[in-house]
Amino acid sequence: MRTVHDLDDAFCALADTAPEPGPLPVLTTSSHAPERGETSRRIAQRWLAPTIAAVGTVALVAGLVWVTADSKSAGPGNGAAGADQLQALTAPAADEAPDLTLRFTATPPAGDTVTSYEFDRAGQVIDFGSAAAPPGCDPISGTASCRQVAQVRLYWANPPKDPDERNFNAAKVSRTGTAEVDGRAAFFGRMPHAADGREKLFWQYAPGAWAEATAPSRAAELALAESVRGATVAVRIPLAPTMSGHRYANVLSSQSSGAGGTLEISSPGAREGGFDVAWGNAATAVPHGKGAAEDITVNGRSWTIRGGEQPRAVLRGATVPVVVSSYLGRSRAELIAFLRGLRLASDLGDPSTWYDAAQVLR
Amino acid sequence: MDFEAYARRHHKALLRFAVTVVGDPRLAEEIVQDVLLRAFQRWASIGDLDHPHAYVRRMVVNEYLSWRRRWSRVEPRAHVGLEATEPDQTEPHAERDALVTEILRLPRRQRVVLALRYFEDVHDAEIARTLGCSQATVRSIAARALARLRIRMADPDPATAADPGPAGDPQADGATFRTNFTTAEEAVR
Repeated sequence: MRTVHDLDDAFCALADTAPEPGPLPVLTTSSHAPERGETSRRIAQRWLAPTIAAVGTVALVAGLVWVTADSKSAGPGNGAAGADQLQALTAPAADEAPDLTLRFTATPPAGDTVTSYEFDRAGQVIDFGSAAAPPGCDPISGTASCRQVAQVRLYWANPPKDPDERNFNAAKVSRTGTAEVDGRAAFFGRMPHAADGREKLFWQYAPGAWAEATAPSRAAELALAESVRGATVAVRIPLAPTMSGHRYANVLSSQSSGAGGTLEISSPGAREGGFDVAWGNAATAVPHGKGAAEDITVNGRSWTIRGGEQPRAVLRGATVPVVVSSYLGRSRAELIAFLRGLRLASDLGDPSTWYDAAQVLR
Repeated sequence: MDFEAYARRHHKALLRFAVTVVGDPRLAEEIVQDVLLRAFQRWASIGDLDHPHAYVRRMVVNEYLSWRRRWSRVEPRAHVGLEATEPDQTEPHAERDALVTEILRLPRRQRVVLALRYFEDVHDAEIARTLGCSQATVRSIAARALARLRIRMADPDPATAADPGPAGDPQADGATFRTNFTTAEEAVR
């Protein structure tokens, strides 16, 4: 059993990874009183680029978790015939949504299976973990029974220049060893400033396009990397938000085991977020809100809404749990309006009725 | 205290605190830079507060919990299978490193509460103000986080001992928590 002293030590060790304070722009340029316009420009430069990207159709898009019977044939471990030529993934432009069709697959480590797919501004990801996910598995914190054990990420090829320098840069990886993947030069290394400090395997899966594999051992990482091949996997989700007059500014998935996940949706340009939608195992981890319950029916579906400042709606009588959470400041009326625009699959328990994320998250 | 003096005195402490809640030094540095820029712009108001550092620290927490940061995070997620590797028992810091890893896997709000409470020695009342929740909720969050980390309290807190557990405080966890700190920021604009 650990003690609070152990916690102190751990926090201190974590804090010791903090970088040395660099010069602050406001101090390096003005030991005098700030000039409002000058400061505003600096701040604008820092925020403008991400804001512009956020106003794009989909800023960060995450997919989940289920593959249709059709796409299973191209799913992990079952690459579709003739489709295994791995192509460089096309980077989204700043105002474009990423490609939400998974373009590759890989063979999971023995005993594991795919736990989630993810799409974001950096590339496409497959996570692997235990096939057995108990009810209530918290995909966000990653309880022991639903943690990932391996991951493959393919970065977009030639992404647009990111003013925040978030694009993968092989030159910045601290190299710890050399390797070879499919006859191509590869290396082991650690990402700069990675929270976990894990060693990963990096290689170019196509000219100018990088990939990384993370697994419990170098041998497992090499096996994982060698198994990566082209595929076309439609990622399906059980709901389709249709926010009239809005576009998606933010969609995130959680780690997930089995059929579950979350979408986070915001109005473009809004400082505050909009709504989170969680389903499956992810929904079971979401608290249902406090306060008096209000039962409503929207589009033939029954919901229970709780919470005042941060109302949440829980779908009643569903075979797959669904919870819609508002951000602080969103009213019940706004939540109900959002629910009116939320299409749910006709049978939440039947993935064949789910939506293709690439089609509905636009 | 003028802003320059504040920044010179507290910049490093803010960075260290930010790393404990963010986990990623680069992102922590970015968050602190942005927060200090905003604090600089509003220093005429913030500098007049009784505890400007507490306020700026709140800004760091709020920035970390904000959707914009979550959206803009494109680093590959690092929560991959550390438990699948055999811990090196010869390594004297293996247990501490394992605990660090588990801290980084906590839900964000649990990590924030523990960092404020045990790293920054902030009272629960201030943590509650920071997160926009009740002190009871803070205690509940802390109790859950400590239980998850298997931390034994030397001097059990009756309040946390009475924690009703996951079903008893539906606000104590979750991925979609929002603070009301934006409102607080508005107050000093």
